Amino acid sequence: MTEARQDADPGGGSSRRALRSGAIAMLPILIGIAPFAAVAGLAGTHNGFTVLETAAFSLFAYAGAAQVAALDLIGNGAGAGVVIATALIINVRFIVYSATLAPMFSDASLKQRVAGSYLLVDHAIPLTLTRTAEWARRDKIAFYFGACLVFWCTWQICSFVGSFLGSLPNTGVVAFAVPISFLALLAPQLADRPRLFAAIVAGVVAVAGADLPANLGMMLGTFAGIATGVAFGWRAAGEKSAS
Amino acid sequence: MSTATVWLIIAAVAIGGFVLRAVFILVPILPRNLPPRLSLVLQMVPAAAFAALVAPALFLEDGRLQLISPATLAGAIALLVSFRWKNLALSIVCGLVAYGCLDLVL
Repeated sequence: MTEARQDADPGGGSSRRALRSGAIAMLPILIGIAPFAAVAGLAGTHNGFTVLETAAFSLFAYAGAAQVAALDLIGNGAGAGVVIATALIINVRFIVYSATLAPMFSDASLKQRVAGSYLLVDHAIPLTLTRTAEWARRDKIAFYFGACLVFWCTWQICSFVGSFLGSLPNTGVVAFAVPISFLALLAPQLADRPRLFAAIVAGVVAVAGADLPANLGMMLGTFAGIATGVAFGWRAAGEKSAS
Repeated sequence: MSTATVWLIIAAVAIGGFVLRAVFILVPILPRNLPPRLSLVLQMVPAAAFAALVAPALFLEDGRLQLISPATLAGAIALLVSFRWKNLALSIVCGLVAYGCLDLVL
């Protein structure tokens, strides 16, 4: 009886197992994400968004660090164009992940591709690639969705809860939550010399240009940092492409 | 900021972010192997952008450069905690607690 059912639905059970193991594999990461999601919610109401607008930002844009950066800029009085440009620059890294995941989705349905794109987050990529290296494609996708879905739920809930903290009296600690979160995100990036020098130059230029209008200092800092890091890593990258 | 502008920003970041995530997953004809030098440029973006966002908040107090302040010291603690334990939550919490304490003392 059980065998007959398995024949009718080949691999259905293994996909469910894969979905669950993806969700479980993500759990330790969620502990680290919860406070950051709360900061994203807090940054919303702290910088003039309503609770509803903050929730909509988390729900539709689901943009992590870019969300926090955008809200921080709005609080500093930046214009819409600058805010949007900054958020998208920070999320340009998604292109790399999109290319990394594309083979896994090569025979997936359109619905799965759209959902898989919307749910894409940094942390799910290395997890899926390392844990499911030998798996069938449909199980890889199930694992990926399991990991992404628990992440998505955590993000939405914690940022919603955090949005009620933004209206606290403007104590220094509340205002400091955003920069400290960026610092915690920055630290693991400083793993090699190109990125270390990119960060130093970006920081120095941004401080020097802080008085410039329209958040130009942050933009200039970012581009100067990227240029510095690229200059340091250019030859090594070229050798990689030649080999 | 007007309500319309708020929703414009939400829509633009949502659509732009979706396009960035979906481009290779939805359009299977595109070549998947990015040239190493293009991925080098993309790799630099988070480090540069986060540093440019955080540096003014740490080092400027009312527009004046401050190398030793509650903000820079708490930032240094958060960085060290992150290097040592590689844990986002721990790093955020330690940085905030340190800032709260230093702000009272200094």
